[in-house]
Amino acid sequence: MRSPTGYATIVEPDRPTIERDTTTCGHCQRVIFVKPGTACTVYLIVDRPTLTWREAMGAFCRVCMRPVCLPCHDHGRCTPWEKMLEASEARERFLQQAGIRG
Amino acid sequence: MNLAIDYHRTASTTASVGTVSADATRPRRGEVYDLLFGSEAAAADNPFLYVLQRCTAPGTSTAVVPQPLDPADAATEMDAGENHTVEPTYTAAAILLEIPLNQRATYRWIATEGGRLIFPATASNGIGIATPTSSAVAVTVQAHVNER
Repeated sequence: MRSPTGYATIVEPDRPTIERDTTTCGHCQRVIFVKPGTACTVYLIVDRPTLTWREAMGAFCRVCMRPVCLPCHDHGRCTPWEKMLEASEARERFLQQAGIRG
Repeated sequence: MNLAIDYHRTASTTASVGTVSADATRPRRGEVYDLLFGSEAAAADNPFLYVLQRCTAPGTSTAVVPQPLDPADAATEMDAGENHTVEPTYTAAAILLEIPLNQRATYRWIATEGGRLIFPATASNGIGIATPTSSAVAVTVQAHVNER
């Protein structure tokens, strides 16, 4: 992957070491495992019942121009995580100024 | 400032391994940039699922003091806890990382500058680490966090 935002390594005895590039969802910051050599177009998703990996088509938001996770893609709206952080902190400042907190 | 947080517990499907959160009265932004998951129990084949999820309250736990990587740094405002007896208030579906592992495996994830897991400077907001699928054996999680 050309510009990964993370790197994961799994070391296990008697098995080959697994190394994977990861990217981060532009909307919720979820860490997304990327299939090697697919330039972020194929994600590796954990299948919870079997605890195995399955491949899924990647998703990209053309509003903020970032890869997004599949739940955020299904959500269908662009709310970058920076905007959510600012909203949360603005609410905190308001509560402090109003004397409700801290 | 960069901090190291070391969590230990006997893994439980209902009780979290640990949390890191902004202080309730003097909150600062935090960024998780390095994570290490593993088990120090006797080698055995058990399936584990580690989940990192956003939380808005850290629950009840044993306090862990985040250790500054540079000893010259001032004391941190960040709060951390392990061995939860009352679960954190998790934000539904706000899962940041999900990794299935065999008990024998060790997992490390490192973020680059643009990929760090950030929690807001909002009272008690942070990130919790849970093992919703696990055997009752000892697990360790090491987190490196930057406090802004």
